[in-house]
Amino acid sequence: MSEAVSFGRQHTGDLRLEAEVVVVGSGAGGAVAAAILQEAGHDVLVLEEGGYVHPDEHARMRPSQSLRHLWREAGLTATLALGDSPLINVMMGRCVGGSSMLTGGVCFRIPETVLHEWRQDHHLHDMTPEHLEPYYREVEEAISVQEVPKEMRSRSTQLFGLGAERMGFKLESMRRNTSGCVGWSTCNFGCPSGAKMSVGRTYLPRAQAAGTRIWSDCLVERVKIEGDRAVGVSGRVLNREGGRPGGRLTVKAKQVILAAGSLYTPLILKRSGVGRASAQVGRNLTLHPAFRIMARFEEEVRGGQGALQSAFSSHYEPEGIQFNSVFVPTGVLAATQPGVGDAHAERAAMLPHLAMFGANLHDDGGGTVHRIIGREPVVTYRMADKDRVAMRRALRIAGQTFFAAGAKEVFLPILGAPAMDPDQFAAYDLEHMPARRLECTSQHPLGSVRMAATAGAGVVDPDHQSWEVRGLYVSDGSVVPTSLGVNPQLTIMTLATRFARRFLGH
Amino acid sequence: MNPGPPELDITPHPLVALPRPMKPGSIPLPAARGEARRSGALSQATLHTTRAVADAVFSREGHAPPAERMDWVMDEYADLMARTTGRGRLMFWAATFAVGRVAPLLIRRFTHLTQLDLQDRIRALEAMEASPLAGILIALRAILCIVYYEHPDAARATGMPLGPLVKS
Ligand SMILES: Cc1cc2nc3c(=O)[nH]c(=O)nc-3n(C[C@H](O)[C@H](O)[C@H](O)COP(=O)(O)OP(=O)(O)OC[C@H]3O[C@@H](n4cnc5c(N)ncnc54)[C@H](O)[C@@H]3O)c2cc1C
Repeated sequence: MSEAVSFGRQHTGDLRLEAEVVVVGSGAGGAVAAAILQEAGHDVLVLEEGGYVHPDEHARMRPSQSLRHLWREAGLTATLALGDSPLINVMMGRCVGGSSMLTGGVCFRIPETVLHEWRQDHHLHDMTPEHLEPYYREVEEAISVQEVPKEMRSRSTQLFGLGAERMGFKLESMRRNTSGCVGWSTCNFGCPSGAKMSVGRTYLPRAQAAGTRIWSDCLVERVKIEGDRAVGVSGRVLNREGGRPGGRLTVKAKQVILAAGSLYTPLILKRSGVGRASAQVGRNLTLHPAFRIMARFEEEVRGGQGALQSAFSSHYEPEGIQFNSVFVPTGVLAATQPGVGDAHAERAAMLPHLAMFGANLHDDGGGTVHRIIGREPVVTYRMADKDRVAMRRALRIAGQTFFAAGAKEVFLPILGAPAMDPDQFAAYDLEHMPARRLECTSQHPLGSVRMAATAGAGVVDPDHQSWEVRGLYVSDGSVVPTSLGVNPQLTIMTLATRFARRFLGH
Repeated sequence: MNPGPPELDITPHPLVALPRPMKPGSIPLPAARGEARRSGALSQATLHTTRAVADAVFSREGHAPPAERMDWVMDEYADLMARTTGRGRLMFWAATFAVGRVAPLLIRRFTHLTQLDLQDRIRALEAMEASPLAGILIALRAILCIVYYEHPDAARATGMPLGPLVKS
């Protein structure tokens, strides 16, 4: 793919470009739209703020190198917690390929209960499984979505599965966009076997083969609007020392597609003065607050061997909880361990005995993207009462599940909580634990520029076009009307396909 | 217009076998390794305090890890900080500042953490971990751990297996 990527960082001075369609952001939503429109004969230009790293080079990186070169803010972005809410570490890609380069590959279709809500409460009447079927199929084929064989489950996942069975629920096999996975378990930091079919290996090369120009290191700040029409974008080329903003970036285009993700698309819209009428831009952000529960077993678990993510349980979905298998690299695992000096070393020696499982909350929202001075947005998040209940319940169930599988101790992601044996865990007052003590992450920001059937209720219409500005579209996670309760990349890519096909009049 | 990608300046993953030949490097690095420290992304004083914390956290039986390993860790840490945003750096500067000043007070030592010997530093950090300010130390230790355990010797010492499930 690299041959056709132009490096903004190496361009001197200002940069002026012209295209029929300009796509801002090269992640899951942007890459899909770019490929489909270019293949249909449109002249597409993709602008990406982050740098370019070939997936093969990503595969060679250590996790901290991946953090430095592909992750936004080196993975350190955090929300401001409002009320009794956790501080949430929001993770995103900032590179050609966007967050798609960092996924665990998990692919879920939109649950029917969620589609029902979109039809019933949001009046998006054609959001039915039948209507979406051809778009799902197109994406699933393009990115090679397949079920993870049971043999690829790590011992960590097997143990949680064993506990689950004893507790009366089951793990099901996940589907992922991989081809030839051998179970390195490092998906988030690069795939050494080249098996993960991110947009960097699928849609972007396709777009380029059809003629799309991709510019890295180009920060879009505003949409240029004349009358009620978008006519291009402007921003800065990140070509000063240290990747700081340098030359001016000016792009003339007939159509503008924003695909900068759920935190940055609203920022660009706000800077451009779009959305003042509805006051919806930046609101309705959902995060799927996520956390990991760890357990120590007598046996060596070697949790990092196997598919990083292979199994899930939606048994507790009615309570807003989804359990997903997951693991982390050694350093990240060690980072979860307490202690200084010998006490830390003792804990580090236990790492091979640790198993881990993840939980996501199907949250009610409560997030807002604010524009302040500077390049980065401020994100506030107020956890809903229902989600606080679900969080405590998820911790309780996960702990019990590991003990049912024979764990000696569990480690809850609660600031200051000690390792607990079964008795200590049973006695621990989780039910009154303040949510602000939860160590929480999010990989799934959604909904801050949501699609709506009427102008006042959202930012874009069901064809992804801005309610206010003609020729301005959004194709990324920000349009997803509500929290999904499941990993979103397939949804985002499917909606992007639907958008692009409708744009083409199909 | 574009002179083409510059030489890649990343150390290959020492623990990962390459599945196929690589294309020539193509990461345009914002700043070469080492420059991050010179450019003042983090001050020498902040790095000095961070090193004092790291030596204590990763010490064994009263000895800090080998100086060469810790130099490597500090280079990597500084480079990582140089590549986050000003906001991220500010957060870690504040965390380091707080640990440097507050931890000694918790063991009734009225001096800076860097002035304490290793034993006292360990005690001070343990006291901080047990205090309501634990979160600050945990954040700093977390980033240090991510970098520290990437050093092949440190990684090996954990006994974590490396490599894929399916061996060809
Ligand atoms: C660590 C991690 C693991 C994940 N695992 C999974 C998984 O297993 N399954 C799953 O379904 N989902 C997963 N996700 C979530 C999934 O990757 C995202 O939901 C999805 O990729 C988001 O697509 P997007 O198009 O909305 O945004 P992104 O893919 O984030 O793309 C947005 C792009 O826009 C660029 N950009 C931002 N601002 C500007 C600007 N001003 N100018 C130019 N460019 C800009 C960004 O740099 C970025 O590259 C994961 C995410 C992360 C971070």
